[in-house]
Amino acid sequence: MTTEKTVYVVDDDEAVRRFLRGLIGSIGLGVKAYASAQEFLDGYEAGSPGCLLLDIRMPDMSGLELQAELRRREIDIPVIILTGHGDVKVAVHAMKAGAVDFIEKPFNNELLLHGIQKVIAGSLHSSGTRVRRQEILQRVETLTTRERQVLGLVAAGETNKGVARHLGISEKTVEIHRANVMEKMQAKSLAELVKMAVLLEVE
Amino acid sequence: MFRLVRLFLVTSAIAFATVSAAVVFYRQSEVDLLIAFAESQNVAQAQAFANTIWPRFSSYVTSALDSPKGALPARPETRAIHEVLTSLTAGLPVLKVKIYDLEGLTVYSSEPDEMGRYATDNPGFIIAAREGRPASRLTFRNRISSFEGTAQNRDLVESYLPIRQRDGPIEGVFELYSDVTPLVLRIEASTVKMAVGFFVIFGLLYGMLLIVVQRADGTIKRQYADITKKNAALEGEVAERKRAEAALTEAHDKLEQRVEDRTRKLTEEIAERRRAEDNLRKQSRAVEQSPAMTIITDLEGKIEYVNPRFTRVTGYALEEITGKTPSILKSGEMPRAEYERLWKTITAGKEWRGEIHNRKKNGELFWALTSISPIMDQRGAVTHFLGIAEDITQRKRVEEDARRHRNELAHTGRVIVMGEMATSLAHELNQPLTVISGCAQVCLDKLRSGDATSGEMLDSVEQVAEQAQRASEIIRRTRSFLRKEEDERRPIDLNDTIRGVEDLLRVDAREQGATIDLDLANRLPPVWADFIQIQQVVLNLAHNGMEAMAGSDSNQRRLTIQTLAGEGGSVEVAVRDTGHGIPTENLARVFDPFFTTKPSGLGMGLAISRSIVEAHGGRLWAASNEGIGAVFRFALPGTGEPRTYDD
Repeated sequence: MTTEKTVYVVDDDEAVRRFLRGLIGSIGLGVKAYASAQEFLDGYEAGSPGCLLLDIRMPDMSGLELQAELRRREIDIPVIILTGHGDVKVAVHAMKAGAVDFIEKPFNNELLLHGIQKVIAGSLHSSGTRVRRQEILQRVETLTTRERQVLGLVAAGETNKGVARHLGISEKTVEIHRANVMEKMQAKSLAELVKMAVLLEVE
Repeated sequence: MFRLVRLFLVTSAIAFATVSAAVVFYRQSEVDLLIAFAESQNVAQAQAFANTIWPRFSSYVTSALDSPKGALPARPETRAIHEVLTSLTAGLPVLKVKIYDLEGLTVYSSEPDEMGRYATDNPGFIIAAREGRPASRLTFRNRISSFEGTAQNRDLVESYLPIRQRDGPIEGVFELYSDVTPLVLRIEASTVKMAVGFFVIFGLLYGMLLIVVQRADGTIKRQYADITKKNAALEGEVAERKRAEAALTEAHDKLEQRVEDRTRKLTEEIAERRRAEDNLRKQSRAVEQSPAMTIITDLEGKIEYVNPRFTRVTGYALEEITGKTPSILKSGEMPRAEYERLWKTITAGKEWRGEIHNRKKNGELFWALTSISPIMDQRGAVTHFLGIAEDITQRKRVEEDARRHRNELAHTGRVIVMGEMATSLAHELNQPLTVISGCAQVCLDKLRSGDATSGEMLDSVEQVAEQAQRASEIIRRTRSFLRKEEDERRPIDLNDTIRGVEDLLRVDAREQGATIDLDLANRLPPVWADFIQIQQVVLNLAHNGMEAMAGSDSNQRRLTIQTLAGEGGSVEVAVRDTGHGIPTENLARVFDPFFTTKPSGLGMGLAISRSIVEAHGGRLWAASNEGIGAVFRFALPGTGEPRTYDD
């Protein structure tokens, strides 16, 4: 067991693995890449520090299933989920299952590295989380009832269309509400908004 | 033949014999009469002699036996007897006298030599001595010594006579020879006279009768001969006539037979000809009425006949097209080589079949499904060419429409599948885009910060180029799959077809979290099919299978695509999933349009897949997989089997 913190990458796409190895390695972190969940389970030494960068869509065992397996094996390693564009539902699932963050592909390099660094530093697991929760709760206070409903649905992975159907309003109106929510919650992306919602366990 | 003369002669002979017999009988009775007369005379004379002699000489007679034989003639008694008798017989016709004792000893004879002899066995003596009655017979002597000398040629009645003393016993026997010659001569003469008379009368009578008979016989013979001759002639004539009649009958029969034969043959010929005419008329009518265009040309291809249907379709009447060649119909759309092949085929005596694009009189084009074949005479020489063509323009149009519809439907199906796979495709594109975007950022950062080394830059840009290539490949595949292409059938290897769609399948599989196993047969016979449409079917079945497995454990989501060679060059493809399976009651319905169990499905995928497979002459069916999930199979006929045109 090494004390050196390592970023474990699990992605079935060889090109993506190669790129991530290069990118993460460029900031001086150790990287180990695996083509499948099983390969990771076989290769990972329990208790090794670091974080797991996990693609959610894979044949055989998906990211979500790996998460479940880790829980079953009581392996406690922070997981950052890599999702495709618009895979909010799955992302929400993963967050609820204990993922610390999710990042949409294609991603901003800096955002990804920042996220990884934050996880490695353990900030998300620290007391900072509680402070942040207070902040987020204050921001939620500023939302109207409608806006809260929209936030709830969006964070649950509903599309604008789905939200509109649920609330019996037009898609246009949903867009406006959503924009207001993003602004009031100070979320730069949908991912950030979902993360906040998951943190609050807004239903 | 009745022998009259012979019969007559025989009868005459019998008559003569009878007459002769009568004459003989007459003579015999005369002789008998004579003998009886002579005997009675002899009896009387003997008695007279006895009366005279016996008292004197009876003792001699009785004693003579004891005296020696030769001594008798010398005895005086004999001399005395002889003298008495000589005197007694004088003037009598008695020629000789003998005296016998009872023992048969000749005690006296007018011929001394005979004395002493025994006549014991003489029948006449026996009758006289023993029975006591006289016995006589007529004899003829050439010479006889009598009392008066020797007499010649005398007829004598010789009588043995018993001698008695009154009514006493027989004491001796006298033998008297009395001459009856004159009587016999008279009898002979009367007999001869009678015979002559008879013979003369009969002779005359029979002679005349003979003449008559002979005449009659002659006449009869002549008549008989005549009749025989005539009869023969008649018989000959009859035979001749019979022969002639038979010949005539035969000739008649033959003639009748021939007439009958000829009649029958004629009837048959007529029937045959009528049948042939009927057939010809029917065939001609059939050709006239045929819904197919019929063209008959000579060996140079000059038209001799076209049927009304031809005129109706092309607008060319028989009169205006006769003598021209069918090239008048050329649309110019058929390659020259095809015409050459056609001509080569039919001049080789074979049939050519094909579709020809022709031009009507009014310039319109039409399609004709044409069969051209040579017409041969009995020796097998080609005399004409027969073309039969069907206007299939309408059919082709309908087929074309159907094909277009099918293509559109197939295309729609592909669009639907692609739509369902859109998320998968988006994710698949996301991978290269992620790398491209990331690498681009790295390059930008380095360029901005100014510490870019060409090695690092090169690596990133290379990755960008590779991934851009990869993304474009995915898009190219998607586009080619979605391209609205004409149904283009050609012999294809289904393994190639499946390998060609493998990338898209894997994209989908990754999205669905499933693995795909390809279990492809080593060698497959080619099938006649449209590459993309079959890919579509495979993709559709695979996509369905993977969706069916969405609820299963991810490490059990296993989709297997298997190919195997079927019977008669057909090929079968089986797509197996390990999903929730199909309830038995839905097995048949899954191919119905708009039947779906998926919340987002249209229910068109399987319906379209089935229509595609069936348009290829194959079939598509579903079954429950062994144990778990479902299996969809489709089979396509090999290229050896006829193509089907059905929709």
